[in-house]
Amino acid sequence: MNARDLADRVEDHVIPARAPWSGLVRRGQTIRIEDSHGQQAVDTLFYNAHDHNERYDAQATLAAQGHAYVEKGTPVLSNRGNVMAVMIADTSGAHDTSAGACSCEANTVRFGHHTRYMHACRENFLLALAPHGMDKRDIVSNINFFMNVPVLPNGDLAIVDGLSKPGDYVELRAAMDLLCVISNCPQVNNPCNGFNPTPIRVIIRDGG
Amino acid sequence: MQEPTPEEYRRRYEALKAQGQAAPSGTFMPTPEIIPEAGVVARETVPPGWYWSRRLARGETLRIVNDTGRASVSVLLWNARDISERFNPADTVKVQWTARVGGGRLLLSDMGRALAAITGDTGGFHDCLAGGSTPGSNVRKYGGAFHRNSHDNFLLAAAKHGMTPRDIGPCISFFAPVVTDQAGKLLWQDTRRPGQHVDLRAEMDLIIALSNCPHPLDPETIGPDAPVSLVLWQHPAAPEDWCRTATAEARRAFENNDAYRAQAGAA
Repeated sequence: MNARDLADRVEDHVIPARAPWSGLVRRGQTIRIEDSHGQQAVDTLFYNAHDHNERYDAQATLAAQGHAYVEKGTPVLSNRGNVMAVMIADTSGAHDTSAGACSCEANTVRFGHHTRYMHACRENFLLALAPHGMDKRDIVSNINFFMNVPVLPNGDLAIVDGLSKPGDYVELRAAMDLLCVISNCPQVNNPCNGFNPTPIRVIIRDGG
Repeated sequence: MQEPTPEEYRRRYEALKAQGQAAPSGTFMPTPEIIPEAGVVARETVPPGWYWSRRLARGETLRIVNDTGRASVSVLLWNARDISERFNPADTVKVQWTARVGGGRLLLSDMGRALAAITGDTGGFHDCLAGGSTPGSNVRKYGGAFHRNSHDNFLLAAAKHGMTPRDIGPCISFFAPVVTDQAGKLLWQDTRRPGQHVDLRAEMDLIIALSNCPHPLDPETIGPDAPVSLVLWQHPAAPEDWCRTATAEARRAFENNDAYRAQAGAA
């Protein structure tokens, strides 16, 4: 990215590896999520900042576009059918929204009971949602930026190596005031983070 | 214990993946085609466009019959003792390594437990990716003509069990033959036939909500026009229960169920 690109930035955060984050993105603003070191899944949820009962709806988003992945041009829809944001830039490709977030509990089923006490995205979501008065019931299927989950014609579905290189980014322009909640994924039992979770960067700017 | 290296984690994952994507072991013995009358607890016909909900006791089986072959049925499930635990389609497809969730597979909760097992399935294609119909999908499909939709049906069904919109997560749609092509396009590959059924056996005490509305990717344009039949019945699990033993993931999910049930007050 060059300096001129980001002259209108209003927030710029480095989110440490394995950490949660939440922030407001106002209508018309752009949020850039940068995979600073490459191959790092960024589990993301969106809520209407003024009414948290309106939230991201993965299934409605896929049904409306008739395509299984989030990509440049995808309108991100809410559970009320409103456009929450549109992905306007994507230097990487392969963003999942069907495989959800890792949790301590699902880890036991996927990887064995010995993985119960490993940090997970749902722990991050719960910690990030609590200050906003939300809890587990408010968690729905999320977007996994930079997480590569091909769904094959025979139905096979698995997380495979991410395509993102250091510095790749996505940008979404908010169509309403959004609360954005992120888990910088701590998972090491599958390839979603290249078996090595790394920091990411979030930039919010007025233009875009 | 020393932390595994990234290479060791990768090897473990590749081994799990190879095992998980291999055919499940053993032979799936589905529930019988004809339900013994003595086991029937309740029957219902859900009119086109309508919803139905009920508490299911652990061990009860719900058969959903696509009488005409034209219906799709979207379903939500909650743990009746703790509604914060509910159906999680993302974990369901991810944990079982397949988006094609059919006979012998489990419907998993967000807590790593089986809510229900698909103990019978003559339909074959069910969708966990694209959801049920919504007011928005109805506008895209029908323009201004009003038809009922699954989003609103779920709101109504949940409300009658004391639940609110935040209790409504993503669903599974039975008799919804959605497949992806190599590029990820979602295709409607219709294999539905009159009389196909699925059987859902409750693996804990549940609340189930079911909506009989056409799937948003179904190319039909006339709106809901097909009733579905429901039969709630008792079908004792076989001593060697394939749904529980066919995969390592299923065994671990049921281990979590067993540990949960051992707690006082749990289902």
